[in-house]
Amino acid sequence: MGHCILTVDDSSTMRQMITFTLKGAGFEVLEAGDGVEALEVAKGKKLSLVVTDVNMPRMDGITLVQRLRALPEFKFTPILVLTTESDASMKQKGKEAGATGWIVKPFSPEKLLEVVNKVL
Amino acid sequence: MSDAMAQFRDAFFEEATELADGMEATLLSMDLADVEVEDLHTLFRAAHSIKGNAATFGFPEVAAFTHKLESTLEPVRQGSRPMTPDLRELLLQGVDLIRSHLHHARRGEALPLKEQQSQTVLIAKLQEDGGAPLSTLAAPVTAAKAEAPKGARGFSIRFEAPRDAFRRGVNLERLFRDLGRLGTLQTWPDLKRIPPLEQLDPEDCHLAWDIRLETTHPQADVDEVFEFVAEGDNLRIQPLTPEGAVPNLGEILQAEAGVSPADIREALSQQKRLGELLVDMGKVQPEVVTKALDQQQKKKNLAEASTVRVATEKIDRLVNLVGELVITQAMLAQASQQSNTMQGEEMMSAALLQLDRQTRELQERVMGIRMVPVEMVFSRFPRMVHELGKQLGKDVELLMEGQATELDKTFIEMLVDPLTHLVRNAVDHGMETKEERRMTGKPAMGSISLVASSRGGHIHIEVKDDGKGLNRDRILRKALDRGLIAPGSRPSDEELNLLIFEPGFSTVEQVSDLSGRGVGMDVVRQNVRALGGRIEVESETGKGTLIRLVLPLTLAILDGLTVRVGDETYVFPLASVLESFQRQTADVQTVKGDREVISLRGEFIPVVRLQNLLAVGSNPDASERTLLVLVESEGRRAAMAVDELLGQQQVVIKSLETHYKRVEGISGATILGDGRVALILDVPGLMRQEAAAATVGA
Repeated sequence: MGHCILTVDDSSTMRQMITFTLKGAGFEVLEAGDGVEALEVAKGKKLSLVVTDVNMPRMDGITLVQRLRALPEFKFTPILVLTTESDASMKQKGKEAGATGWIVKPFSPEKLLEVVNKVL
Repeated sequence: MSDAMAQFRDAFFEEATELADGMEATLLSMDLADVEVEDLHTLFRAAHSIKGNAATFGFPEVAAFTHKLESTLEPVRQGSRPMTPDLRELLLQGVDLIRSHLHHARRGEALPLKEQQSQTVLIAKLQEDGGAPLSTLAAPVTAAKAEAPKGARGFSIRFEAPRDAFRRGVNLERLFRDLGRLGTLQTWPDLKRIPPLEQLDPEDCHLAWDIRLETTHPQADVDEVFEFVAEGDNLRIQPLTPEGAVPNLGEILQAEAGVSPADIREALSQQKRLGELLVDMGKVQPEVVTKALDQQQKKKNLAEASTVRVATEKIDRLVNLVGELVITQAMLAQASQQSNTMQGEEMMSAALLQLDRQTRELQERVMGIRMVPVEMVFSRFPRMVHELGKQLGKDVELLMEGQATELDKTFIEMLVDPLTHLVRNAVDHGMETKEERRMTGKPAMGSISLVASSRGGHIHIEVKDDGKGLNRDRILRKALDRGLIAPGSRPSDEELNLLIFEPGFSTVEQVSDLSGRGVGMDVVRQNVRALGGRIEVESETGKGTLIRLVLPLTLAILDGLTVRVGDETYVFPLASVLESFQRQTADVQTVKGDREVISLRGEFIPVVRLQNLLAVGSNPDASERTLLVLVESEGRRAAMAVDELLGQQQVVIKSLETHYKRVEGISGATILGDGRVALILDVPGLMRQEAAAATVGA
């Protein structure tokens, strides 16, 4: 059973790195450039995991988490936020919004897979 | 599964069972004194075949385990590891386990837990019993569990899943899988936290576990597993007794008999303490035990309080500063030799400037040594709030900020009781019950924040709740009852709020177990005042209460009001000064001959003639002192007569006792900017003196 993961980031390089890593590990990957697009892409899909950046145009990652959690089909879906600030406040904000966990940037492909495996 | 495949599988099971039987026969018939090499090869081949076939036919667990036996046999076959009676015993057990694996695999069942455990033990023993560690096959979880040898160190873990775990998409199963990968896991679920069905929100998580993890991994790896679910007080990780040391009975019973940590805790809580037992035996009175315990606690506190841990960084900085001072001193010496030249003068003023800066920094840094982060007091509160909330059936979260703010070490110790009381009060009284909160449209989860910050020479510590706020009417009624305010007076909100700190003041109608006995709040004020600080209260009905402790940075510096009496300058600690006014405007009355009182808002306050009390100057109080300073201490007020208010300033306290001797009414001395010495007045002491003089006079 293939897992489908949605990666949300405004940096295409970042998205490519994440997609490449996750695809290499056998996951199906969808991409979105910001929160608004992510909500469109996610609509009607069955996702196993969402990995989202925080700072993005149009809709930031924290808002995206809140919006996803409000939808019945994503109520219990694991969501990871990518944060550059390793400080507790962003982690706390993510947690409060309903994120499952976080990955602190910069991270290696190994670290990404490690954390993905932790929640999936 | 197709019929053909099923047939192959049957064949595999038959062959594997035969091979296992063959291994057993070979092991039993072996003469250990004179081992036939060919027998060893037979054993190895059998294990190798079982492993290969099991992997091919889709039984990875059988394969993984047999792989371990195969790796054990490899060095034996090569002659580098002797076949001992012990090893034979272990291999025989291994054959039994292979049979058991085959038996269950054939029925499509997993290996029973008990046998999984004995497998873990066996693999560990095979490893211990000489030779290199066994290589692992790309192994399923059960095999990976075997990595931590039995009796190794590990951790005892108490984990209470966060309530929002499900809503955050946390997969708790994964958590245990990841933990299992670190070593051998034993778990005891604790279902006691699950509320009755009618109160249960199925999206809330109420699960908790006691976990025993035997592992060689460091704690950081365990912490990492819990990274997304640890919230401070919901996760407690303690190392198991290290190898070599004797574990306590509870730990052994957990490991060997599977007794749950919760049961052990309960049993321990029923165990009586030494003091109680002795009282029961009639050997000693309860008061004696209490006293002895107090004494013990005091000794402990003393031992802790008499030393201070200082960051090396702070000391390094001091050493550097002293180095700089030496250079400055050399500069000054040189400058003084050529003081009559232009160059010398310039050098002198530069050096003096430098000296000034260095001295100031030195003073700051030396004081900094006494400073410790407020974290030391704060750290106890998450647990306390959690337990209080549980006890009272309230959902309360504690937010903390500014834990790194530094405070004088003495303060830290003296703040423990007041803060504990304030936090407790906030949970118990400030916070509404869940139902009340729901009815007023507030989130069910109440929040209490504890914030420390440093502001312009003061440290602010705030205890804030989002509860119901102070009840103005009730406080007013109570204050009237107790005669704390005069009937008909209209105190400001600020004044009214501060009344809760009066001795014996409690507005709670039903006294609860935790607080509300009317003692405590006055103790809070007393302690804060003793530290030279003050309390501010802000409260909004329905929104919450904020209590702010405003403390000086250190006991060594005091906010003072400098006054002139006769030719002398004195310093009042600002914290005890309420107000000052012109004597003429006050209603001064003379009683009992020469004693004076003023009537202030319906209250008679004695006027203290500082000049008489302190015997200032040669001529007794001839002139009328023009100003009165109203001071308060320990709930009593007095108007101190002075000549002039000079100003408000921070002064460095010098002990009088170390330089001279203790003087009644004086708490210390300080050096003013112009180099003169000013005495710091001890307000409570002065009041005692005044009271004594009044009695004598009467």
